[in-house]
Amino acid sequence: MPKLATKSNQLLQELSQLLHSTRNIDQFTLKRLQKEAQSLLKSEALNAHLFLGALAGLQGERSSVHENYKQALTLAPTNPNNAIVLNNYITSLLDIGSFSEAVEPVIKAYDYKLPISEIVTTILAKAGLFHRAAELIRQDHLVVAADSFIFRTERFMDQHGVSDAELQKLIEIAISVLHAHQFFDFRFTKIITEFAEEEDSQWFRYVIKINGSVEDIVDMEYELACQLAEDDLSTELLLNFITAYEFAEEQYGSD
Amino acid sequence: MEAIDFLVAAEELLKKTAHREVDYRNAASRAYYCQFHTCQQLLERYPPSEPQYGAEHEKTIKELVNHQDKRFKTLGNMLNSSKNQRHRADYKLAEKFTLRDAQRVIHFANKLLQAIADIQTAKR
Repeated sequence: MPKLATKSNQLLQELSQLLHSTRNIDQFTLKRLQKEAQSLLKSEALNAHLFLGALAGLQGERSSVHENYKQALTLAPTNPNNAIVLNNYITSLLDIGSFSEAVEPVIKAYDYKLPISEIVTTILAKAGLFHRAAELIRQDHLVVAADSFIFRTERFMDQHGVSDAELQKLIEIAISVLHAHQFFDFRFTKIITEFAEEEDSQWFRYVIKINGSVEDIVDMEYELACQLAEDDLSTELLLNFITAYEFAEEQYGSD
Repeated sequence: MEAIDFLVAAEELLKKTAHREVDYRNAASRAYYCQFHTCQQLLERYPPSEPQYGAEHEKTIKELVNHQDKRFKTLGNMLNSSKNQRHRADYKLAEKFTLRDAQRVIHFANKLLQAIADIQTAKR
């Protein structure tokens, strides 16, 4: 973040601790920090918006995340500050599982020549945009560890006539069901993309590992099935691309 | 034998006092087969306008997903999701499969059976 005054510094320290804390964040602390950040709006507008954007992320308030970081971008139109703002913007969006919405700032950051090729392609893949990720790898000759998986998924999508937009929509629906159940905290959520193979069939799995009860997962899975039936998604997509909620590994020890 | 017997057997596996991971996996797998057979019976009673071809499991899911009735489409999505969990149980041995994983598949199977019962009641 830009050079900070003392009050900002204190706020930054508290916020950093919260962002890295694995414990549930209490609403009282969030509201207090929000109030303190708001008090900086006149004297240190850029920092204030960065803090408010990050706090909105911790509260799962998507519109406020966008609003504050967009404001911060207008206040920091030149490098290196805009790169810092973009970095924080992307982090906040990823922390609430808004992978699709992180794509635009990620591409902007990439255009600033930040050394983030691996991050770009990972985020594009999390949003379901495998063709776009593959295109970037080819076009910019990127060296990316996951490139073979990205190309394999691209081929699989082509085989089934599935576009980036369709897969993106499927993933967005799965995330929206989580959001509707107040699962906003993706800071430690593992997303697994892989292929499952069985005899002659093969399908793509997009697994979201969450901390939830059996009832939570079953309810969300059912709602997802209903939601997918409501939306106009192709049969090829529904049959060959599966989004699933599974228990986070941390909880395995509790059996 | 009835399709529901698979689910009863799955639930019994979880009632055992000493559990092994293989019991969880078997329970999940049996619970899937209950769903699969019940869906097949439903399709026999209410056939799709466009019959599909292919391996039995894919064919059943396809017929449900392509069905003109949205409630059948939901069932297709549910069965596909359960098939995915059954695959984990039967094939992904390197990945831990827990009691909660098995409970989740069984709960979900009960939800699917309830959805089928609701459809049948509505169609009567």
